[in-house]
Amino acid sequence: MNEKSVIQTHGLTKYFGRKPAVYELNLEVPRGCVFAFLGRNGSGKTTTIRMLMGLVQPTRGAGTILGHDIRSLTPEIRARIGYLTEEHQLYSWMNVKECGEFQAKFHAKWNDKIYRGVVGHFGLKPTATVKDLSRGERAGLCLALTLAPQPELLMLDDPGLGLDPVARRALVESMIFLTRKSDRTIFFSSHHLSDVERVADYIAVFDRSVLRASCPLEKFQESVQQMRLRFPGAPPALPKIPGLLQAIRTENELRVTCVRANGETEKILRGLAPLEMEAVPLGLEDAFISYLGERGEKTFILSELEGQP
Amino acid sequence: MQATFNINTGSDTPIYKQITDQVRLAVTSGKLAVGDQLPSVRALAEDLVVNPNTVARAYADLMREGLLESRAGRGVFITTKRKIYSRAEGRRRLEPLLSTLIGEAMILDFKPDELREAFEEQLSKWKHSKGGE
Amino acid sequence: MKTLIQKDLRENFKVAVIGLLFFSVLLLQAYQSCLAVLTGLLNRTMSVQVNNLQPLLATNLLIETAFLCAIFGAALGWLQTRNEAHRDLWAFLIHRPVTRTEIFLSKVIAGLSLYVLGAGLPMVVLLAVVRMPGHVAAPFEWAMVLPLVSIFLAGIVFYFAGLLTGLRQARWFVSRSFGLGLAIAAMLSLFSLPEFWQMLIVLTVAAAVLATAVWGAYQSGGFYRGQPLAGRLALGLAMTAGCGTALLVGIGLFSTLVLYPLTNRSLDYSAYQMTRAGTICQVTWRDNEIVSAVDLAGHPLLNPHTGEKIEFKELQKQFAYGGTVVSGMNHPRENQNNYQNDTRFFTLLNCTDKVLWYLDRHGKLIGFDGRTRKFIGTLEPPSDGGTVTREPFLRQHNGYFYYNSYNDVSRKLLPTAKTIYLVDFKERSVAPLFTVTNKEVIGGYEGDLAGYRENSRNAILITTRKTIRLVDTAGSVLFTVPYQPADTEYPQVQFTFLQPTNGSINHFALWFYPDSETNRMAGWKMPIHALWLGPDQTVTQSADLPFLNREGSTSWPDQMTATLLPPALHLTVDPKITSVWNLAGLALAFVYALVGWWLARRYHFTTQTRVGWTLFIFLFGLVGLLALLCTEEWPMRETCPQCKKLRVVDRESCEHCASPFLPPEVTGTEIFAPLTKA
Repeated sequence: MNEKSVIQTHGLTKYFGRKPAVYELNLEVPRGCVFAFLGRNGSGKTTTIRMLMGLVQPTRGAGTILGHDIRSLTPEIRARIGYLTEEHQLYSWMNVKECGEFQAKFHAKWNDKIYRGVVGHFGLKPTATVKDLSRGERAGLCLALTLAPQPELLMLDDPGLGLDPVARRALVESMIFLTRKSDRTIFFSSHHLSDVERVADYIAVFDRSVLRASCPLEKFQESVQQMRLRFPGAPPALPKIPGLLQAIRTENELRVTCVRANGETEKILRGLAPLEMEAVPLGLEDAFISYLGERGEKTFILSELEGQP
Repeated sequence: MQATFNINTGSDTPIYKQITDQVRLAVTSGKLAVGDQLPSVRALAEDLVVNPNTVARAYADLMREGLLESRAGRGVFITTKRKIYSRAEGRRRLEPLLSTLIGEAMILDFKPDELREAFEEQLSKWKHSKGGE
Repeated sequence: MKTLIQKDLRENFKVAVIGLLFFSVLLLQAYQSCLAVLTGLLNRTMSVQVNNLQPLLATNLLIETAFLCAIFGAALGWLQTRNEAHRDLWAFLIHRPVTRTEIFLSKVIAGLSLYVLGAGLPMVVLLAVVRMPGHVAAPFEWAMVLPLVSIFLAGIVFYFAGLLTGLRQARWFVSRSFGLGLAIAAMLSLFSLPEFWQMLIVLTVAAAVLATAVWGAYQSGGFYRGQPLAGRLALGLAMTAGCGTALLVGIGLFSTLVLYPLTNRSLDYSAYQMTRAGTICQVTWRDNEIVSAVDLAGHPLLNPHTGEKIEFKELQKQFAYGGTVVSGMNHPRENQNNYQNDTRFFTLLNCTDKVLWYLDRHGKLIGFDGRTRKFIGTLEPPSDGGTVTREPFLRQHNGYFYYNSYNDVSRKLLPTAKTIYLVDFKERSVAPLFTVTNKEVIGGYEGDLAGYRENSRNAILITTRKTIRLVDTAGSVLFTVPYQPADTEYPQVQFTFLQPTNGSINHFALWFYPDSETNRMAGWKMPIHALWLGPDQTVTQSADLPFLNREGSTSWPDQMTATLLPPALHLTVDPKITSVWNLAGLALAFVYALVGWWLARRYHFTTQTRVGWTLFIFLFGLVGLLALLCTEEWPMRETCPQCKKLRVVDRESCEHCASPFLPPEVTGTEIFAPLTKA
């Protein structure tokens, strides 16, 4: 009951046809934290969540959720997990009230106050039919259905998708509200880094089917650093730098983003004899973009188009 | 006096650091006095819409620095102000602020003497409000 | 579970209502068309076979209902799963804290309830109408409900097939619907299986297989792997049936569209005919036209008037008339009436004064008033002095009642075991005409009281196992000959009235035809036996004629396509196919099995699975191989970095060199730190 990790995977892999969607994933999510699962579209986040929820059979590898093998989740385990799917699908003919009643019948710990609270937060009328709801309203309804059973583990697959800023704030507030119970864990994937920054304790970053980072939020932000080098003329060719993410060259400037820059990195860069060199701290969003952007040396996307008619 | 905090996401400063910085500023600027109570971790987290762990970490950092103390069952309070940074560290932190100030002043066409005068004037007001030191 | 059932009921209620409407319209229309047959019969406007008087057994009603049950069942199942086909809604359903078996059961309970509502309710109403006096002018027995019941049940098989189609995640998209193949096969067996209990077994097995496959699909989210063994087996079987059906349809289309036009030629049909003079000739028809008429020596027949080759019309005039008796009333072979044929229960014999007279299977004549459609009474042989039990009438043949001017007579002959009775429907009287001797039992008879034919005479041929008699309408015997050869081998007797040129009458000829199954076993070597009788009842002449029209050997396209069928099937069911083709089929099965073995090896199935599939393919041939291909899932293979061989990706280690999979390549940009609170 009180395992230290709520999710643990070992070599979890899923192929769709010839392509691995998730490759050799070793992931661990401690109990009682807010864990953000980041990555670009199609990097394998949803597949991972669906495997963890026992909806997709892994090609190989193993995993546990709440200490239970993901290949054979029992109803008892499912009752302890709230799962919010990506596209917020519900039975289109039900109305808001009926959705609640439907869900309530399956959950002993159903809290109608929470349900009505969240539904009210999103401005949903109990008589509104699902098929008439907007995307954001549906998301709110799904969130209410996920939260009201008071699960000990929340698996939210991109809960902010399609939400306007106000609704997203409501979502973040709901998530923070949920952390009141200290052994409750929230595992969510998102593209909204400002939300992640507000709520996440830890993040994991997925890049093209492979897990590249798993650390406390600040650790990630600290690890990705940018050095700005100014030169009298065109910047020289870049030597090999460990942990290099990106190098952007402009007329007389070179901006080098790398992971865990240290004395060694600085030494290599100084060797280029820049006029000036300074470390620029990066916000989470910039760090993330550099981390998942195209690797290696590049110019601005549009500069390649310059000079063309 | 009640201090209000606000945080910015997307900044290059992590949220916990934004909180510690704002508490320090409020203390140094006199918005918070010794013995003032800070909101509980949970209350501040819900107010700022941030993870309580982040607030807890900020408070923990401030307690380690000795700026805050937790009184059992009652909450978190500002303690006696102590020197937080070493002189050298203070100097290091001051420098970028000064250069920003000077840079902005130059853009606004202030001569060094005018700037010095304005600076002195502001400094005396500050002294006045804090009751001198 | 209650919640899920309620949800599914509400979600698909519309479908059931639509089904209900369709069924109501169809059954009402079919009922009306049964009434139209009755009206046509009463008004003598109809000159067709009359077989739709009991709606419960009406062929058109059964076929239409079968189609509708199939479509409704399959559609209901499919829609029930299609609603949740979106992966997120599926996730929402599956993530209920209930077992998948419970989800499956709720689906099925809701679906079957809706099926009963949509299909069952109209059927019950129809039954109630049929049972109410004054609606159907035909006999009723509870067993007549069974055909409709089996169609109703077959719809349930389709329902499961529909569920499976909606659930299955298959690589070959078409193979998703292969579950329907088993349902189609089950439905078709309705029209070939003679007994309800056999049909019930077929339906139970098919429904159980498909239901298990659906249950398995709920366990695994529609995939083959990850299912319990029972689910995998059931899915395999369902897919085999589906592949088989698809293959048969494919072969059928290919044969009809490609092979037959290449090989087909119109077949000639030859038979012996006797002229009124008593000469036997062999006449050959092609497409219903006489193409040749030769005598036994092979010379063409000549027109007696012109001396030219005889023409069709003239030839027709020359043929002698008579009748045929199929012996076997007293030792009936297996009842050839399937349980869904009305002839199993009754035969319509006569319609006189708007009264329909049926001979039911208990040997009773039952009358229904055609206008009020009510039962009016029965006709029975007069009791023979004191014996309480009356002998039932024997039913002679299973044919349909053809209502036309020839048949428009109010008198008819009916036999019991001992006596031929003359039944007068107008007077509603039954009078004995001829009784065989004590130790004999009537085996067959043929008589015509209408006397409609030019040159024919009213006489009744009566056979027992011992003798063949011709009796005139007054009951006096025209001739008696022993039944020789025995009726077990020669059950069919034909007699002809002859009019030799010298003008004398009471010349007859008798033909004995061999039983075709016995003859087939004997290699078509049993001859047709003919004999001529003079007026003094003596045999004047006899002849053995070689049997004509043995069943032709199967054409090569049939033989070739048969090699595609499961070897187990075509060796046991169709032994006609010559041994060369049998061997070819066997060899092909061997090749298919090898391919299966190779595939199973390539994808590193467990030894058990591999052996299982190989044996399976050997038994089922191409069908088995196709079933393997569309049932199993084929994991991706990639080069092993250690041994450089291709290895499947769904094993933890290489099947060749046992080396594990490599972790992702390290790029130096990984950020991993312990997840502990700061």
